[in-house]
Amino acid sequence: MNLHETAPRLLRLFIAGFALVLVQVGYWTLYRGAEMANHQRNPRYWTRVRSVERGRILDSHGQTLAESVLDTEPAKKADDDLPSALRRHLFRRRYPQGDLLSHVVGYSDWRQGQSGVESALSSYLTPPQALAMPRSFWELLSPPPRRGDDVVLTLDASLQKTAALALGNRAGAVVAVDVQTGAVLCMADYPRFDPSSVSDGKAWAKLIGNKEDYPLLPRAYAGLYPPGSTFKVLTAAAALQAGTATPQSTYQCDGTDKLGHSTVKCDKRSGHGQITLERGIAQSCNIALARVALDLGASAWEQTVLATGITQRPALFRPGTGTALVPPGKVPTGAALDGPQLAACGYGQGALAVTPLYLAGMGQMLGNGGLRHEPYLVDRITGSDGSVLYKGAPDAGNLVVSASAARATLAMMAKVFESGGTAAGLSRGMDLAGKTGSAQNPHGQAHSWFLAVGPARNPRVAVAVVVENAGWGRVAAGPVAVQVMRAALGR
Amino acid sequence: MGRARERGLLLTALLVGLTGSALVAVVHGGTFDPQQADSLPRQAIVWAQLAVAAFGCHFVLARRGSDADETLLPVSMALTGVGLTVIYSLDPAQAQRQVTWLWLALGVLLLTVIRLVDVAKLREYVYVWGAGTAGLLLLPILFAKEVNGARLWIDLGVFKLQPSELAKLTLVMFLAAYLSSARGAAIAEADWRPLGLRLPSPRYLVPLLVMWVAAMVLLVALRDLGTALLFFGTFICVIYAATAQPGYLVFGAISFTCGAWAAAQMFGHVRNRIQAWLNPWPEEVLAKSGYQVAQGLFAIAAGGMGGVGLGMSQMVNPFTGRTVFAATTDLPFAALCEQMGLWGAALVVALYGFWVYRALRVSLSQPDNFRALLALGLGVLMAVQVFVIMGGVTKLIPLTGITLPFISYGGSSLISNFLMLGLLLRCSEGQR
Repeated sequence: MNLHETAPRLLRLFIAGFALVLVQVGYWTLYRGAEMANHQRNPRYWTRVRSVERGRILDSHGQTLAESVLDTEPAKKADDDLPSALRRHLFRRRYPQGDLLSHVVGYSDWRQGQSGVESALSSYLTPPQALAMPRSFWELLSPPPRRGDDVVLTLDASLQKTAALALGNRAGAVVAVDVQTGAVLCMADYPRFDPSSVSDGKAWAKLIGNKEDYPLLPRAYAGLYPPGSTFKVLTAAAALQAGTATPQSTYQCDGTDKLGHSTVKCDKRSGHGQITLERGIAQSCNIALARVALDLGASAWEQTVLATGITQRPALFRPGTGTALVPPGKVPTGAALDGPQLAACGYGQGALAVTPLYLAGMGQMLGNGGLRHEPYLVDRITGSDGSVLYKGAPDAGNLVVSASAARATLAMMAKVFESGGTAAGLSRGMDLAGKTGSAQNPHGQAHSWFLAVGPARNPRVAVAVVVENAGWGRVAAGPVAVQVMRAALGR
Repeated sequence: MGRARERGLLLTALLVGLTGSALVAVVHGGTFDPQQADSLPRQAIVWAQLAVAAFGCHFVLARRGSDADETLLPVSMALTGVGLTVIYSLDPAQAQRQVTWLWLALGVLLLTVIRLVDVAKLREYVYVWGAGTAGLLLLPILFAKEVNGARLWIDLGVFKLQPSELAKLTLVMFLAAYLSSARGAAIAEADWRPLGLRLPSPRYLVPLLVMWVAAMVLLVALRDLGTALLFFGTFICVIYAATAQPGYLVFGAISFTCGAWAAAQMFGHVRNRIQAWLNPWPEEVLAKSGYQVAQGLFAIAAGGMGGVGLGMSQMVNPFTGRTVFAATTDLPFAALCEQMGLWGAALVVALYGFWVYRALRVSLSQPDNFRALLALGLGVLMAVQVFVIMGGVTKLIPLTGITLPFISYGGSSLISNFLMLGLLLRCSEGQR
């Protein structure tokens, strides 16, 4: 046995093995270190995220909607085995308005993720440079103050509160938009949730498990509903623009009618008799508007409807990246838009689906002389030093219908509030234009819709309201819209 | 009183460890409340115990006038101190328990160094060690409950025993006794040349192959790739040292790779380990079998050159916020890399390297083959174990759940490592 020969060889083998281990350590920490540090499954990444003071979210009057505060609760429920030196520098999100803006502002939780403005503007609220790795032990112990940028919304929290109160505990949504710019003034909906409760695992499980009324669904900008009779105003505007109809064109309504190989029924079973387009809007006659659509023709109708951006994802959160949060509407086009479909779409049924945000945008377009501005929510972004990093502004606009067609449509919509109209006596002395809707759907009673633009002669605000399965537009949605309009015009 | 060098080194080792733990205590918020496991008084008691036990061993050796190696005890204590610091930073309550185990382990060490048994006599029990190894490995199959897909521990009520930690020692003793016997010596007289390689006659290989097959079968049944790798690696290194036949290393590596590949085809748990090694990053692997690998690599990556600082490990589950599963037993090297960086890792690896070097040196100065092979076997065992777990944590080889000697949390492991140290100290006596 000659260990003197083999033992040194073994030792060299072991030293080579140990050296390989150290090479691996060096490889992972020096070569792959940055990649590992930003891995979503790395708890250190989330510690960095949580140690940044995320920017505030404010309403147009400077009211705080979301802010970051140092998480002073000591390692609650022992669920945090992080070194206490690190725990002292962790922030958590506070939402002073409770559930009022749950779908607009959204939530931001390191376990559950983000939604709403918190998600779409996250790269401003927590800028990537604030997430840079700590450079030294001392920096780790007492990190330099890292602050994100503040996001100021066009939204008015007090108007939001009015809208939420008016809606009450009925599932639905209220959206108010500035007619001149497309700036969103309020975007309330129900059911809501408290964004602060998201960090609590049990509350979160309950929220995502609720398949009955989906409290996490932002109905105001992501709830897709059949628009019902509110869509008639777009058909009318398109026909006026094309010259295939005037407010005084007359149609024959007998309650039911065979149109384009399908039967159209009017809500008034006995029929409206001889009816002008103007009365057809005021009294919401299905047959008149189906005929208007058929007279206009599929391609002209489609062209106008597509010009409203119905099939596009609105860049509501611009400059944020959250277009995925806002779905486009649905409209039959091309071959799918045959005679029966065109007739049905003409009065707002058929294969149509829109969000309350879209409908408010339609009101904005009509109120603004046919010039549509993409709705937007972010008024400005300010750096932690107060400098303005971004200023929200209306886009160049897109002329959907001519100013005269829009004005004429608005004049017809004003008749809705006059005697004989479907919302007669609802305006409470305000000079409003509007349109009721009751959208049939497979989930029970019709959705109650209301679109209001006011003041009718010099429009400033457009309000769209939907109340799910609540029947006629004037019964449920109408009073909500008028109440919000009153508050919005009185601001 | 002799052994001044050991005393000085021991003092240094303890001071370094104590400073480390004190830093951890401060970073952890350093309260003085004795009710809390991570308070300063409780830590002081831990380190006082460690110092008393370590110097107790030293004084026993000194009083007996022993000329045993003076560096091995301080190096082992330095590693234990690093281990306590790391465990303390991850789980203060476990650090308290580890000190209790340390008392037992140092007791075992003392029993060994006061010459309770004659080392040379151990060679007479060659088949006791062989049967003992098999028996110890058999125990968990009969009595153990399955924990996370492996059957390693026997629940003795008061504590859980991991018999494979003792089996690795009996394996080394068996190999030393067998290979130093007349029958074993014949193995070195290679006369069989299949495929142009000099191998001993098949007749002499049979007992060893039986031992190997038995161990492999047991370990497949135990579902523990790490222990299989450790046992087999030790086996081929020792037999190579005894025979000077590189064929053992080559054939050994090839046959183990083939065996592991075959096992991966047959057993889901082995396949999962291999998959987690090759690519732990896909989301579904990362959530399950690749979780530990990935969390270990995240920790290593965070360390950089100098580490994030003692006590600043973030070895927590990103979603529950709880310490990563088995961090103190399987991943202390990753936590160490995170806290002390590449420099700290290099230092610890150097300490292990030094331990192995001293073991092999002791081996070369032995008068008889048994003691020489025993010392060499102990060094080899230490080297292979350190490589298997460190290589696993750094994704050099598949990650397996074996302990990092002296550093990992665990009573069986600590006792067996100090028993190894004791045997090595005994072997090193009377060299000069």
